Amino acid sequence: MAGHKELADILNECLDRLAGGESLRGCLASYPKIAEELRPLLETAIAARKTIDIEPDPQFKARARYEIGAAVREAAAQKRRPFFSWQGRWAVAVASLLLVLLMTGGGVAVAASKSMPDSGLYPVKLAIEQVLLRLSPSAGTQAELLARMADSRVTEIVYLAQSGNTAQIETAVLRLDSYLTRIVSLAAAQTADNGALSATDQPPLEADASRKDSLSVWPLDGELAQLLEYYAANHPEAIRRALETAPADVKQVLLRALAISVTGYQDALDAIER
Amino acid sequence: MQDERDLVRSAQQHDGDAFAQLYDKYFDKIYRYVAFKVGNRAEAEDMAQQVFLSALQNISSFKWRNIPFSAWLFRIAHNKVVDHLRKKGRRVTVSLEGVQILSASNPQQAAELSLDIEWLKSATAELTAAQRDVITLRFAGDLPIAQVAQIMGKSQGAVKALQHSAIVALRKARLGGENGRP
Repeated sequence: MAGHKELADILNECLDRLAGGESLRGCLASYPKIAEELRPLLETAIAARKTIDIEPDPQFKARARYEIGAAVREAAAQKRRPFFSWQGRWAVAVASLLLVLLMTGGGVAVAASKSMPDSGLYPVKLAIEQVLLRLSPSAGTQAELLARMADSRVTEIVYLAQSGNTAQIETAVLRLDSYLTRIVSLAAAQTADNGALSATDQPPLEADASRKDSLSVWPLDGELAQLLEYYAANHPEAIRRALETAPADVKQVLLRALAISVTGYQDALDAIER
Repeated sequence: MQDERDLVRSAQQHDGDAFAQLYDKYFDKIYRYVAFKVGNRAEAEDMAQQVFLSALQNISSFKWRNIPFSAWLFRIAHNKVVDHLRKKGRRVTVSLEGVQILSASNPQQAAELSLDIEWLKSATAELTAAQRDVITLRFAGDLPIAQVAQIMGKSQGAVKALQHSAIVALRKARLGGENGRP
């Protein structure tokens, strides 16, 4: 009988050889002394591998590939755009200037920061947000800023709900969704990155406790969690109230905003709590 | 054919073809891994797609640091599975209902595979979490032992030992199942 360690090594070697197309007989012939012990293990492994040999539905796979391709093209297009191209460079330049004014209490900048989508200053507000996002020094501060931007979008959705401007509400809802998704992605990237960094000294897949430790480099997670919990409690409620008095033609998009505010904050909280 | 490091570098610079090649290389493996973990085809499809969307969004943050791209991708998949199961209040378990079986080409074969699925479902439920991870990454993810070791943060020797003990446990469960069949 082979030693435990030796058998584990030989078993692994044979599994690799089988995966490479070699026959069971060929593997066993290499180890005649332990063939009797090895055979049932390899047969079990072959059966398990065969059972797990599952594949996605071809139609889904084709559709998913197309959608991923579209996402790749969109990402490449965004990269090519200098930055915030839909508003034009002027907005970014003005935003940078107003950002300085905002920091020093400038009246126009403050007005821009409080503007609504139907205001002429609104593009500047969005541009200021993007400048701040770009200047964020870490994933944690970016996530916090994204949460605050989500708060602004919900305020705007509630404001726009009474005006019946479906297109502007739709745009705000899309932005809200995108910010919350980005928070989840930032947290996931942080977790993946930390997992990779810590792969040599702790088992990333084993216990949630070890994963929590690995997130210690995620800055502001306490503050961010508090912020998100606050928004998770208040934003859906605010949208619900807006729904009660909103015109019929915007109710559909408000319901979508409500769904996003409920699941989006929960997803973000789950992601940063990992 | 570019090597993987070049592909990842190109994908990081928003080369769509490079990302598509990585997608083609890993999609089935990630799908199998997720499907085996969540046990539901619709959920597995959705999550496999999410894994690649997350990878696309975050690929610029990926650094090799002696960790292969596949390990990074499987970490994303693992995190999504854990989140998903936590939300559903389920423990990580195996149930392959609704999952399309690749190798069943006729009804008899499908019936045999159905028995195998039952066996694997009950057998893997008895494995430790680490043994289950090894089996999933090795057989569903089709990863070499070195990468499984990197993903799990264990030595190759430890992973081989886990693989061995897991297969022994599966074997015992299989024998028990066969003896119990009419």
